[in-house]
Amino acid sequence: MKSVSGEGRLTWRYAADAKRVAGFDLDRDSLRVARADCLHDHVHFACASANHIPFSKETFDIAVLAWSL
Amino acid sequence: MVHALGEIRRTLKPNGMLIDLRPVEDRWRVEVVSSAGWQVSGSLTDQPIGVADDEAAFKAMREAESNGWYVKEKEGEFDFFYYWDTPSEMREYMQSEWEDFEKLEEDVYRKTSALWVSAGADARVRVRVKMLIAVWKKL
Repeated sequence: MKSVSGEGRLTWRYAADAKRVAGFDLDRDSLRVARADCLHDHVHFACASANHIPFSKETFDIAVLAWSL
Repeated sequence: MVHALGEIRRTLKPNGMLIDLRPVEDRWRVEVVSSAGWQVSGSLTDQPIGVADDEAAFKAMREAESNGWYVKEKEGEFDFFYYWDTPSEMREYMQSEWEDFEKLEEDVYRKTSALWVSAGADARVRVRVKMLIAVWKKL
């Protein structure tokens, strides 16, 4: 899981080694770019903040806060 | 910030990992780089908002740790470079994107421009950003 995924440039790097990747960002323009550039079926982006993550408990193995804390 | 760390913890599996990757203010160096090598032209001036942001981030992680949410497994630093073709592009970018946390002083800009002009046709400018990476394990 990646919080503040931006336009996805770093997310693509994680995607190669993950079964499923979820990226969150509140910036809709960045999300639009990330989704348009996404070539992976197992990568998903959502408009959400780390304060309210739209997933149930104990879902992810790794959380990445990149340029966001 | 602390609330977000708690929310992230909620969604992590037992023994899940949180990776904190971010730049930290440290008078980042401005450099001119070309095929002949690189030279330092000066340092950026850290701005109060950026310093406060760093402090808030460290404080939030300390609080999450003291809450018993995470334990630090590893921490390290590395350099990350932002590149521009010209000093004026660098200045324009900083004024629009970094104005709250880093300042390019006029004397540093002038020195950078002088070094860039004399460094050859392939010269570019860059800022050496100090990056922090820390790995935290969920408790």
